[in-house]
Amino acid sequence: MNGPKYLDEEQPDEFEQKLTQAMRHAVPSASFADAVMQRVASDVKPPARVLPMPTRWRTMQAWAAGAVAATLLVGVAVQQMHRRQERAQATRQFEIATQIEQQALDRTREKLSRSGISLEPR
Amino acid sequence: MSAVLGFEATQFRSLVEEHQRMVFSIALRVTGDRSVAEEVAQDVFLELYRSGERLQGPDHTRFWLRRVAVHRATDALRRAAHRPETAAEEWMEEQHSDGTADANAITSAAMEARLEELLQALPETLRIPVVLRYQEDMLPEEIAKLLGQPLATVKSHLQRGLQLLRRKAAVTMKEYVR
Repeated sequence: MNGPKYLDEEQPDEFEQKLTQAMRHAVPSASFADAVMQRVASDVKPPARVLPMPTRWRTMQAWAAGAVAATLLVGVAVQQMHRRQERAQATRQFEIATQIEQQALDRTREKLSRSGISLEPR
Repeated sequence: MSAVLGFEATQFRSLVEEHQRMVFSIALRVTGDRSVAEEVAQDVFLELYRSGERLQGPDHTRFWLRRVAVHRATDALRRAAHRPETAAEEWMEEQHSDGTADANAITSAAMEARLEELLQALPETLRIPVVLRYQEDMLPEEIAKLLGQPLATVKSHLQRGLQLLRRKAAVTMKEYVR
């Protein structure tokens, strides 16, 4: 018992021999290999394609929520586009009306001018 | 299951049967628990099957199995976070279960069971190299490669582990160890 020797000596001492003897391989249960092969067999089975009900229901709920959200987004976008178009049309109509009014005023001013009446402030 | 991930079923079963004692023993001596060791050993073989590891000959197979067994057993030990104290007694009971053992065999079995107890009492960092050295007959260089540790560290752990075992054996096993 004078400390470890195996690193310096080629032959293990008595204690090391007893340790080696005590640490021989242990035997697993008789069904060990069968158990491993069963686990291997169940491991390579293809995953089930049919989803269980709760999962399928959740999936449908998710799809429905997505569809509602998409519909709302499209509706809002269409509404905004419609309003923009209405605004642009109103602006165009206002510009045309202004042009017509300006032309009428110009013609009246010209007639008055020809008659010797001036609308310009003196 | 005839041929998946590069293994034929019959070929894989032969591989399991050839190495099951080695893998189980490593797991058993690291975890100290038979049922945990069986589960760990099964996990090791399942991992081998899943990985489709290309094993290049018997040496590579042994190296891979030993390395994964040590790692998985260490993981299991840390998960369990307990140290069973009955493993050595269980082994001793198994040895005498037939009731025909003679006096010398009983003495030898008692000594071996006591050595197992002393081994289980070693810290994990010292126990694993000792298991690989004396159970698997691996050289320090091989252990260093398997554990991914510097050779000097492995040698130091082996020396300290063996020293602790000798000291404890000298105190508690005077009748068996000279």
